Amino acid sequence: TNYDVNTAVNRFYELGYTGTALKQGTGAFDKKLETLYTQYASKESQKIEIDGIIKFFEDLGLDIMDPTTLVISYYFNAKKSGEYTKEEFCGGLQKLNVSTIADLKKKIPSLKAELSTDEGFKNVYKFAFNFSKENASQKCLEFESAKALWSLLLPFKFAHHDEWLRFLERLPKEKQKDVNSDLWNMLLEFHLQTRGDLKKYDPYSAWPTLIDDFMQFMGYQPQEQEY
Amino acid sequence: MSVFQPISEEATKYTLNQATKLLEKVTCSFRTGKIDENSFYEFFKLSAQIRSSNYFKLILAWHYEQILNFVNAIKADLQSNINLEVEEQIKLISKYYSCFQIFVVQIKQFLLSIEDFLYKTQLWTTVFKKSFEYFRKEFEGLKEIMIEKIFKLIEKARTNYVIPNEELSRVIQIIIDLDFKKDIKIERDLKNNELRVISDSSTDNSKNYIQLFKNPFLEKTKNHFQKLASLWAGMNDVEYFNLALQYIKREEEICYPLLINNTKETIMDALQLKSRLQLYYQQKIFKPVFESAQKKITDYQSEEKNKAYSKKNFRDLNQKIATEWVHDLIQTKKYVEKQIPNEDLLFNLAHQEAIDKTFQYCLTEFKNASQLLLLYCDYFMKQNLSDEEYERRQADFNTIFVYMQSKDEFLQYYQQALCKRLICFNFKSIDAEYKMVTQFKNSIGVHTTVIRFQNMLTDLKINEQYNKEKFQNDVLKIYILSSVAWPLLRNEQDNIIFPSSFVGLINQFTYQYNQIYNKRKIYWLLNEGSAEINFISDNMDNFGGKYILRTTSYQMLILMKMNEKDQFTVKDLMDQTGINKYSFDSNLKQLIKLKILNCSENDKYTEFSEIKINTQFYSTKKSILCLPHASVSTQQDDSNISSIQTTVEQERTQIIKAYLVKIMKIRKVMAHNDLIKECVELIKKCSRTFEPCFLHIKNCIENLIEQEYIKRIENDYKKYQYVQ
Repeated sequence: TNYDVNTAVNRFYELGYTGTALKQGTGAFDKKLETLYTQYASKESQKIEIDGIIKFFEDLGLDIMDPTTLVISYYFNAKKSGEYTKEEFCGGLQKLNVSTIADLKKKIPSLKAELSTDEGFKNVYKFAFNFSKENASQKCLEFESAKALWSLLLPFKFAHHDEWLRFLERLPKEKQKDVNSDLWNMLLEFHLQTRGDLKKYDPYSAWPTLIDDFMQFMGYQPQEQEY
Repeated sequence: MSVFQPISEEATKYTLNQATKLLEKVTCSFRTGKIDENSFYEFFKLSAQIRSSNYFKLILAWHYEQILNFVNAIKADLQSNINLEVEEQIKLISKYYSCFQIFVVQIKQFLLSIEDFLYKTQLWTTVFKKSFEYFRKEFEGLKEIMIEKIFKLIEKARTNYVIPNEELSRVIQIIIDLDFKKDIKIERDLKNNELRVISDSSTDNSKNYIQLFKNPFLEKTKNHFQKLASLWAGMNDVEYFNLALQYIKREEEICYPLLINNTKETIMDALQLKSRLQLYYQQKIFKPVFESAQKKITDYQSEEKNKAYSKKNFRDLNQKIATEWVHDLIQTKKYVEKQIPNEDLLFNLAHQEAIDKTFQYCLTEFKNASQLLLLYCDYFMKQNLSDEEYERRQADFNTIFVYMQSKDEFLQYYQQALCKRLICFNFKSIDAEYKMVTQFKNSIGVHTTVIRFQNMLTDLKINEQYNKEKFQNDVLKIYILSSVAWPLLRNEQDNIIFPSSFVGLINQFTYQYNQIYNKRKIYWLLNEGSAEINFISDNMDNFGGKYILRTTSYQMLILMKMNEKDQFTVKDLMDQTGINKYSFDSNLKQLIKLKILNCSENDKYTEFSEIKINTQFYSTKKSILCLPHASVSTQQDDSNISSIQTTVEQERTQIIKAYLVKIMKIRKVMAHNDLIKECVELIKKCSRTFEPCFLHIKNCIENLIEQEYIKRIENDYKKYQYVQ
């Protein structure tokens, strides 16, 4: 056979590591996504970076602090805030079945509405934690970032979001610790269990202490020492 | 001879008739309570002749009829004697039962006589079993009547205080028996070639007994005593307890034949004895005692405030307070324990438990309890006492110590006190110190801090020996203390330059030590050392100018340096001794204050001030204590307390987390509340030095989740799973 290692290696480097190039030209749809991507991607890193992202959302008529941006990032399955890879961007738009800014713009109201459904909120909420961490190796989200994220997301579902944020504000400095994934997820569970009816709260249940503290802040009895 | 003989139908009929007549006789004899065993035997002999094919059916039918008759006879008898006393009625029942027992024995005999036949036809087991089943079925209705009678009897016994006779226990035995022998087997004993009846009591059929008899009985007992309790409501505690004891003892006699074992607990619950005892001991005994102890302390302290303040007085006062405090508590506890009536074990235990609980509660609530206890033991460990006296005080100390809730915290304080005692050589008997450690070990088991105590004592012993044998000299004594065991901090800013007069000795020591333990690193802990210096003043008014200065090692270094030259600037003195600035200042200021050294600016000196020895020094005391204030103070300062609290907290966190991981490793999956419960129980049982608080455990669990030792189970947030 006329198999040649040199040619193969050269071809590999020409196409780049991602191998996406192989899919090139598989359809007009993909071509459109490709051109859209190059509009925002930075030339040096071959990724959409912070400037690109700002421009992207500007074009969509969205403020960068709009919670809908989180829904879009969720669909992109973005690993990290502040950058989209080509795979994430194109794959995400494909999932949403749109290929132009105008099409995506039309979808924004329905994307926003997803935050008000149980399932949609849960997905975006859980996604947001890992997405917003400084880097993947970290286990916790910084307290301030968590607070900001909560103020963005909680109003959609969580009945006592104002109280929760006020409670966080008033926490003594030594208690303003970084938020771990357990607390993050359990706050959602807390909402699902109580649905705004705080009477359903059971102090002997396995809530993280911060949620117990919150309930105390709300005027509920803390658990007794004796067991 | 063949057993199986065909006989005519007529003959069978005749024989049956005869047999029935005999049986009537037997049945009649039942009622008189004396079974006619002779007729019975005759009957069996006769019926043994009947060996037709439907013989088996006949026997069964006969059995059933007999049993029915028997039970009906009892019922009828009870009915006609309804006006009899309950005792009499029960006597009747028990009489019938003994009849029945004879009946069973006879049947067994009969079966044995025709054993071969039955055995061959494989029917013998069925006959016996069936007859017993009949009996059970029919007797069931009778049982309720019997139980009712028993309850009446007990009621009567309780009001009149008559102890029922043994008939009662027999009747109850009947009930229990019937429940057990649901399943019976008959076996042939191969040795004697005899049949044996085996009742299978392993299948627990006592449910009936519990439902019909035991539970209603306990319920009735509970009601009875609750009524009594409300009757006694107005009584004072002591009267109440005496009456309760009297009734419990009486009840034991009345119910002894009932064979029910946890009646007493039910009675104690109904009388709310435990909570009342606790309330009594807390409110009436220990609370006043602890309150007056508190008042005594406050009184002493306010009295002292009016006097001129002096450290020594203050220390003496604290020791006095602590000693009296321990003494008062021990006396009260001993007195109270003596008062417990020693007549009933369970009642006695309830008292003891109430005392333990309330004593512990009051001790935990008492402010400064651990400090007082520490002062107490520190004080007597410094005293010259006889062995018996040491033992007595150590026992007193231990009595209170075992009730302390935060033993681990106390041990930390004790370590510091012990360290101070050992370093300052204030302790009076090393054996007594060892005994203390053994006592700690006995009451809380092997604990790291206690091991450290032991190592501290061992260090001291080894050093004494080393100094005596290997490093003999009169000038210098060097102690090597293991850094793990001793709660001492090295001052790292020291860069000590030793005076030429004994630098040689020190080098010799380090050389020798390194020869023996060449891998060990040793550092100076000069801040803990002390010295004695002969000081000669030109002013010979007192003691011919000869004084003894008791100083710290730092002061010794300063004075030795001063001895080399007439005067030094402060800076030179500090550089040439190499003492850190903080220690240097406090030690030098004390020497200036005592006028051993002179400085023109007194203690407001600067780097360039000149220091001289006061050659005209005089004092009314020969021996002068020069220690700077910081090292004399007996008060624990705040930072020390908070640092100990952090250490204790950290230690506890470690222990809790270790136990949590251990539990999860074994259980794999566990619900939140179960985990906390098991953790608390395990720590209480195994660690014994503290009682973990709920919140602390919860925090530890959260921490373990964060560190990914455990995780929550998806879809069930209340359960945790061990992460491999």
